[in-house]
Amino acid sequence: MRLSAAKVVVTCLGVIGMMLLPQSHASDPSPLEHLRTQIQAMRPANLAWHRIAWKTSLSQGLKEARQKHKPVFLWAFIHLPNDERC
Amino acid sequence: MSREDVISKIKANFVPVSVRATDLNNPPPNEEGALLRSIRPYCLEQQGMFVLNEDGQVLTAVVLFDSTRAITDYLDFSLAQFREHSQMAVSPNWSARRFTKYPSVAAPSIAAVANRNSPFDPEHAAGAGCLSGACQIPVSPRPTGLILNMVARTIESNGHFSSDVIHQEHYSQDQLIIPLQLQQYIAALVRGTTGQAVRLPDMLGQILMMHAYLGNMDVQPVSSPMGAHSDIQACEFYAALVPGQKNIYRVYGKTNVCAQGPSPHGGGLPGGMLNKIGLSWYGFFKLSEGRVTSLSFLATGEQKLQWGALRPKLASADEEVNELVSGHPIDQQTKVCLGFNSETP
Repeated sequence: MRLSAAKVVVTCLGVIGMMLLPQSHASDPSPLEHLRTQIQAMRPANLAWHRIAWKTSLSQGLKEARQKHKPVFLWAFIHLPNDERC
Repeated sequence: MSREDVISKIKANFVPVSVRATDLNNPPPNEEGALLRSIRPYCLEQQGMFVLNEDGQVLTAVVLFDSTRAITDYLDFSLAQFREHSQMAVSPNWSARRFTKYPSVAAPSIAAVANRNSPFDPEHAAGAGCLSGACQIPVSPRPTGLILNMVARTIESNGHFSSDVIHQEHYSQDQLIIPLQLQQYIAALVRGTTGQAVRLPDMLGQILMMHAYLGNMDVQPVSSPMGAHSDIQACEFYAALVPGQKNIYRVYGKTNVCAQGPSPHGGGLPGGMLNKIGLSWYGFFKLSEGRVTSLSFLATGEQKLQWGALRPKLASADEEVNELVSGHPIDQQTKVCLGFNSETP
């Protein structure tokens, strides 16, 4: 019974997914790669905070600061700003 | 960190570095940790922003801002401090400028600390200045596993994704890890099956549920960091070999969880938190060498999210920079779509 219900859900999901997500034009080698491409398309291309090339090592940042004669702007929050929730 | 003027100023004038607050508060026993430890005395909270000169000396520290304009003002102020106190130019009588909220709430300044034992000291880098030996300890490796990158978006009434990609209740990203042992366990479960579906371990669903939501990390619905009670009403995943494929499995499942906390932050959040999210899942994973080597899951459903909902709504973005630590009030019920992709091996 559970399996049948889940299969119905999967069918619905497929329809919803087709409506929401951009269609892939590539001849996909596998269903996994097809879905991967669709999920990747959920990410906006130009997220503002992605335009900052954060270093995640303070020592590396200080080395670059010396080379470029710039100060370090250190962001220390619960998670990193690029890909993690905060 | 999403304003054009702020981004441009940081890119042009600073070397941007981000670290986890946990590493700042509990520095690892290595060179990086020794550097972070030297910053600890300047912290006003467990989180914050700092500007350092090339020698690693903290020049300014800040937690909140009076307004969005104050962010660029703070950066300009810090640049002026840098021009005055760049490498090796910090005098013994100089003090770092700290602000709980810039510029209206200044905190006591702290005198520059002698940085001669810093791993970044040139003598130390040459191996002559380390008194503690901390830099000789190797960096602890990250947990091994399959890294998943999550993206989550709310769906508006017109069926499109919300155009708001700034606020986490409308657009969230996250990372999680499927441990190697769990990958191997899943591989062993499905190995040898052909068309029949196999129920996957609940641990997989619980790991996914911990991250499958929109909102800030304090509203995490499973293993709540705020101590909220989690009522898991559904958590089941099944996998079956895709016809015509030898190592790719289709996955489908269902999760439903409601997390509720009366009033996190010691009672200072009127309305508390509620995060109720029900999702239907489908996706695929690939097995290779006895483990999961690639995975993509899509989940859709509905989420009801409340966070300090009884607080007055903020009137402008200016007020949001005053609420960086506790977050702004949220009260919404929306359709949601979430995607999980493993990183390419």
